Amino acid sequence: MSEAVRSTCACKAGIRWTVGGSGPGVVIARPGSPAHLGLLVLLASILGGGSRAGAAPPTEVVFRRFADAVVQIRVTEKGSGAKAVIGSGFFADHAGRMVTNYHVVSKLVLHPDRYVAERVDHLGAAETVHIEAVDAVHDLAVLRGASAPRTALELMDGEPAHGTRLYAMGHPHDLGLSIVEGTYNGLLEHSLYQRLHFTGSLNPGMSGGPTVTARGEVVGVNVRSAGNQVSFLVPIALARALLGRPALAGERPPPRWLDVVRDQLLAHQETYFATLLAADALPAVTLGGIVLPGKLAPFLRCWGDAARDESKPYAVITQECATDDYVFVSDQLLSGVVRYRHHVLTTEELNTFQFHALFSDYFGTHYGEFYGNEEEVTAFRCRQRLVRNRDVPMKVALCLRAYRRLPGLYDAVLRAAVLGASTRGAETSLALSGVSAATVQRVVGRYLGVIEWAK
Amino acid sequence: MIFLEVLDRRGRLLDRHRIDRCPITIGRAYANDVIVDDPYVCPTHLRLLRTDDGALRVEDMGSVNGTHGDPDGARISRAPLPSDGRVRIGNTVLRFRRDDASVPPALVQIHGASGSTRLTRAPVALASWLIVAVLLMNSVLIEGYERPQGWRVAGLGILFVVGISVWAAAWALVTRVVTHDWRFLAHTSVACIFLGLDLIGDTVQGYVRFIGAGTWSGTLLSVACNAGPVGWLFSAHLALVGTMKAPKRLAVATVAALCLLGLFTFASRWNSFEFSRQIHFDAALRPLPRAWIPGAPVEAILAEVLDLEGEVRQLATQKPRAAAWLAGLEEGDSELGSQRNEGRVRQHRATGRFDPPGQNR
Repeated sequence: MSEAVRSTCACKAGIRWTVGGSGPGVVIARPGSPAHLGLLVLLASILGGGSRAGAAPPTEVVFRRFADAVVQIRVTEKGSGAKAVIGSGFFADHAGRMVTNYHVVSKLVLHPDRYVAERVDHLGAAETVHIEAVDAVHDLAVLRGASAPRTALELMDGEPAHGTRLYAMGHPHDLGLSIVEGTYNGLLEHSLYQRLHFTGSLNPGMSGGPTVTARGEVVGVNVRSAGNQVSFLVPIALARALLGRPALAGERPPPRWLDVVRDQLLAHQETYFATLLAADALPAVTLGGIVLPGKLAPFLRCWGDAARDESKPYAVITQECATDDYVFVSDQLLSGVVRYRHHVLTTEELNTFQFHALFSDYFGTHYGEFYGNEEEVTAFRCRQRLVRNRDVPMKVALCLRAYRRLPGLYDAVLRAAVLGASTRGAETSLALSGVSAATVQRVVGRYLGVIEWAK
Repeated sequence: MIFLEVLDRRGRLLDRHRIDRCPITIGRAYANDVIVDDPYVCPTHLRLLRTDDGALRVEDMGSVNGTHGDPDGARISRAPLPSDGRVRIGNTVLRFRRDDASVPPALVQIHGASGSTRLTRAPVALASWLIVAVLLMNSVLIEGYERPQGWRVAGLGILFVVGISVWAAAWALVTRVVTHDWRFLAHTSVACIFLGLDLIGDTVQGYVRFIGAGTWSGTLLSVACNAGPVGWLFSAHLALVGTMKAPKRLAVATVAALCLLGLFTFASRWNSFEFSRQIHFDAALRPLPRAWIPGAPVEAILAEVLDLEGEVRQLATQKPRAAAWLAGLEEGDSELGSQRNEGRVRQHRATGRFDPPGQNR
């Protein structure tokens, strides 16, 4: 299966959790956006103590003002007392509610009996905290402790101007509270999961920390880094929405957060596949005389190649589309990924037997591998058949595996080979993760329905 | 006139002695009339007497292990010869026979009989090597899709010739031991013909897997295509060795073929017994005119989703095997069970579950 899977794994390896790390060595102070210029100048002149007029306030001023509001979140294994996960968080109101990432506290969600979370402020004082709300799809969680904070950060209304100087705060690599300067580069367009693009170095340990303007308004929650100062934030509007939800934590009996996560994932896949399947006819692409599913939704990224290797007696056209992000469920399970790839094979040199030997090998080659271990998922089970869509014969294999902890959610792989031509054929793989069986049926039906020979 | 037959405990005849006078002594010592080489038999073990009325009696000479009726095992010290004429001393059975007792007819010699003679003719054997050329053509023109390279084809040809020769030589050695005859050429032609049959079987099987993958009839036909040629191979080699009659030979060959097939199937599926993130399906595609390719409506595969859902749900209710195994290991050996390097996963002793080591997020 697919590289859907492989890519999620690569993401895990390549995109590092959270922000942090040393900031740029020398940052040339840039004027803020005109809208904030006056305020920044004022702030700088009051607090900066000698910074030049027109420059952003010195970082130390921002740090000093807001350090109290940023905490370290530690998830500890009860039996051994060992730290299992370290992340960051911040106070979002004076009632003591903290925002962090779901992935920081996921162990607490999955094994509430084995882990405990605490917040540690920048002076080292620790306090046990509890989950008050989670949004696994957007990677957010709200925590609450017993005591009220001295400082809480304001959540920004609206969006800063492109290029605004921002400050990411958190505890990179458990090295103590740090601040990183960077710039705001807008909301990622056409992404299934809303993310802000922050140019600045986020490092492991800063997940869940705030990225703020010079005035201390939280723009986003640190979530992920792609390296080379390309980092991502969860828009603060999503955190505000989560804070605004009626608290489940007060309910008796207390909610099973795993069930909440499951319901969120089920609702999430319903929503985005509804968008994907809304059109009467799915977008198609014609490759080598065969009509195949094209870019099915704006949130998919597609790329392709028609490399012709002169040393080979055949040519391969490849097209691949995938979501660019995923939902973190646990260390061993990333979900919410859609990925498909087409291979169109043509030859003028091989006879039909040789071509079909080649075709079989392509069809039988696994398309990457899904993430997930035996604790999280079952093995795949497959069914295969020769089917006909209009006049196009296809060999189809459909495989499914179940999520052990989240009943009702499955990963699915569809493999289909388009048959009926002597020296031309296409094989396609579709991988869906974190979907219901009904969604698998709907999507696979529509997907196969697109395929035909070009007229 | 009577005869004394010496048999081992399994009833195999070891020796026959003519008894033309009485009494006689039987035992392991040289002074006996009939010498029995059995370490459980005494130097002078028993006597055979004729009474006044002409009847035969056996008389134990005070032996250590005694004389017993056979097969009832009753100990005899002095008694008329039992009606079935058999007594046991040590591990040896003595059977008394009259000279009019019948013997079974002679066995028919098997080797050299039947169709194997045709294969032993040199022209047939040499002609069967042409199959190697057919196999090479198949690997280049049917199954190969990269541009053929001369040295690769030549290497494959040499591999076929060496492989067939070694295989035939092994069977020839067996034949030599059993029948004092090599029959090497005949064994090579059996191997060549097998490869030809196997090629036909593979071709048929390819289409069966293409059209009937996942159906019972397809699976059965696949098994037949695999096991048939292998069964024939063993049967033909055994015929050349020549110790078994046709029914037994066929039974042995069939069992050997099915065992081999089972072994290969088990080996190839070994991975699927373990937890895997891979999918397993039959990817065989074969050329057929478009109109000849059968095909159900797309809904047929969609309907299978419900079936699959039930199956994986059932799987999800089972305890993960690796965890169960490690938990068992931990009970036995806490040091071994406590850590697993693979995937930098740490197992919690209390619960047997896995978690990655502490991490920054």
